Amino acid sequence: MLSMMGILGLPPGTEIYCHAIPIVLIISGVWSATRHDSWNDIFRHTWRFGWTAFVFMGAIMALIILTPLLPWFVFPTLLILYVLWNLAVWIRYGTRTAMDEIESEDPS
Amino acid sequence: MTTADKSNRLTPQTLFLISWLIPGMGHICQGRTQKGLLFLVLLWGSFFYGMYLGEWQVVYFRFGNGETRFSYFAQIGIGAAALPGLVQGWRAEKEQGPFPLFGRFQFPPEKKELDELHNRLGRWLDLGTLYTMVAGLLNILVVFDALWGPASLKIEMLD
Repeated sequence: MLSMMGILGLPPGTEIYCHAIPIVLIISGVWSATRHDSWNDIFRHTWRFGWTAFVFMGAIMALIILTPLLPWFVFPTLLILYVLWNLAVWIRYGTRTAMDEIESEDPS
Repeated sequence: MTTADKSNRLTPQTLFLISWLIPGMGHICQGRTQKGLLFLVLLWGSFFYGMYLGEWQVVYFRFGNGETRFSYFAQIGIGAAALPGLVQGWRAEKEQGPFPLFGRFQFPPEKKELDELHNRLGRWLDLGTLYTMVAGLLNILVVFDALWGPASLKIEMLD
């Protein structure tokens, strides 16, 4: 496998990252299969879960590789922004849910 | 594929045990054969591949003696495939040597052995441990599915 990686021009250690592919597929496949009963829904959910996980993993790997090359404050700033963004989403979700409940009790 | 048959003859306790011991067997007993086989292949495949990556030395139980093997608490989720580790770990704790039936399968390695493994296998040892842990944790979801059906079934029915 290592020789094949060398022939293909892939950097050393690629085989480790390639092992992330089956594990993501297994996690997304089993997760989806425990949430649905029809094969159509399972495949659709696996695909959605799977590519989202890969995009997320790719972003984290890119950050890990780029962090030593960037100014020291970039990674902590991105992390803080990500946390704040998630907080904003939850606050918005909570507010919307509360407003829906109030409106359903008093439609006027 | 049918949904969980609530009127099957197995009690919840039996179903839990069967599903835990062999991934997907609970589903097969319920008549959900395709789903059961899917889980069996994926979870056992992941578990044994992880063991292969780590030269069959990534699943063992040790609590104390300089090492607490927390990963075993996830690996035990796979059921019967990880149970020898419990027996072997208990015997190692009592300094009794490996159980004759299992040989050195899932017997806790000595520190020197472990160091040599880490030096030789490097990241493959961690990757093997990860595969076995993931298989164990996913089997917990599979057991829930066998007992109570798909998690989002009620949501689909309301739509």
